[in-house]
Amino acid sequence: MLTPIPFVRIWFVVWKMFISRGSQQRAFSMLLRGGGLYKHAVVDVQERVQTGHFGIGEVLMTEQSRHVENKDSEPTANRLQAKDLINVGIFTAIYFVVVFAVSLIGFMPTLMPLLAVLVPFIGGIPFMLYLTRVKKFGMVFIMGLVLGILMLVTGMGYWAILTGFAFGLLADLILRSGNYRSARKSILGYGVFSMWVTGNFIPMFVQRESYFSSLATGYGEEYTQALAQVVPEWSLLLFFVGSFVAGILGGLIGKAILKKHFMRAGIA
Amino acid sequence: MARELLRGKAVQTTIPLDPRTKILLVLTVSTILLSGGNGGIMNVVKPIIAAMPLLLLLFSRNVKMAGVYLVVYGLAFAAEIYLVPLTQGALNFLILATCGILSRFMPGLMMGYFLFSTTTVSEFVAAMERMHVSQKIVIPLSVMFRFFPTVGEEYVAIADAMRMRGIRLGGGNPAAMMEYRLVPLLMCSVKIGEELSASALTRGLGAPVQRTNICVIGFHVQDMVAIAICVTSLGVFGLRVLGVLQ
Repeated sequence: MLTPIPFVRIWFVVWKMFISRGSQQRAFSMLLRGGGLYKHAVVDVQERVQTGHFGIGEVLMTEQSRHVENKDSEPTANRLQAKDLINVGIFTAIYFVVVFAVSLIGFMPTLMPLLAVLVPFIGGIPFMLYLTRVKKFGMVFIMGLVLGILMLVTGMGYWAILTGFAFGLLADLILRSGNYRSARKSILGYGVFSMWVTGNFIPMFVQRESYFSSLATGYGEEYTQALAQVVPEWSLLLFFVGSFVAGILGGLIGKAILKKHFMRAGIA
Repeated sequence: MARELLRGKAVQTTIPLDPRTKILLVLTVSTILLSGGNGGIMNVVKPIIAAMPLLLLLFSRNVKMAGVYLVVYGLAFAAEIYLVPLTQGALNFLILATCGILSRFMPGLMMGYFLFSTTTVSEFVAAMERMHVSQKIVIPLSVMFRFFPTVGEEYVAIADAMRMRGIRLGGGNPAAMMEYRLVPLLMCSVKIGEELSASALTRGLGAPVQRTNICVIGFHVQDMVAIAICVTSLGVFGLRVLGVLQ
């Protein structure tokens, strides 16, 4: 049976293998250098590796060996790994919480259209930080898709999934053309990505005819006229333009904040 | 809000529903009420659909939220009928728009709240995997739901700290207020995120093997009833779009 001390040692070695990305050989030699006291622990590790009963360690090693393989072949190096997908999840959560906090500040049903401008404006700060983590194609449109699903399950309709995917893909293409490094293209990319918010307003515009005709029977012709004047059909275009411009401005602010705080702190 | 998002532990409900049914319900409620049109057979379909979140919240013993929903929706509905004809001009438009948006978005929001408050992350992931959703979507989604409460807590803590220093909404410079709250939030979220990422990887997330799930999910009689209601109303909606039904 293993005494507690060598047991700790094994996990330490496994951990080392993972974070230092060294070969298994190196880790074993490290372990061997631990001396005779841990000899039975070494045997135990070797046995477990040979028989494949290595629990977590095995997973770590396969993950690591895959990483080593990917370094050699360029196409697979650009594929999304679990770590990238976790990053997408984390930053989508941060982005959404920030957006949610902003929308609470200006929350009033009649002010809702204003969110199409406010959200891209403030969201630029977390997004610019996110872009320092994005180096692979697909991370932005997966974020858009996840945001769309989030909008769906919070009852905002399904249009945000389509806009999130479409504008995320466009943004990804723009970012890739700048190799995910160009500052100008990242701001432009964020402006394009920002247009996903319009998906939340599309339900107010599709099927307008039936919406207004039903209103007309209830409230009379003049109400419908007034409403159609305040929210004309072309104003959907205004949402797109507004969110794009606000996205560009938000991107600029995000870049400035990134330079002022995050680069200095060594996070970006 | 953040603390109630997607439970860690299972909750007691009188009528347990499959997560897939809940997702379909959210989809149906938001579709029908946001773009379903008015008049004709929709006068029957819409109240039934709007009542679904209320019933489900009551079944999950969440009387408080059910009450909030009933009051807000009832007020919006009553105002639309009684208050709108009495007022004129800009005030009239304001009331009309407020009520219109509330009565259209509230049911969907409540349905979403029901989905979140009664589903665990594990169940949600199990449902997504059962629907053969790609890992590229399942991993970000589950990480995001896991991460929401954390970011929410951090946000509250930072807001408290800033309030103690006198940096508040009314206190002059809104840009500085935004910066002083957002930057610390992002800093600590990124740190926590990295730790979470390491922890998830050690537990084998993203490993090249099939993950197993401990959650038992499946369709029962109550799911069949809910799905039948959803499919019928979506069918009616589709027929109306095609112009077959009035």
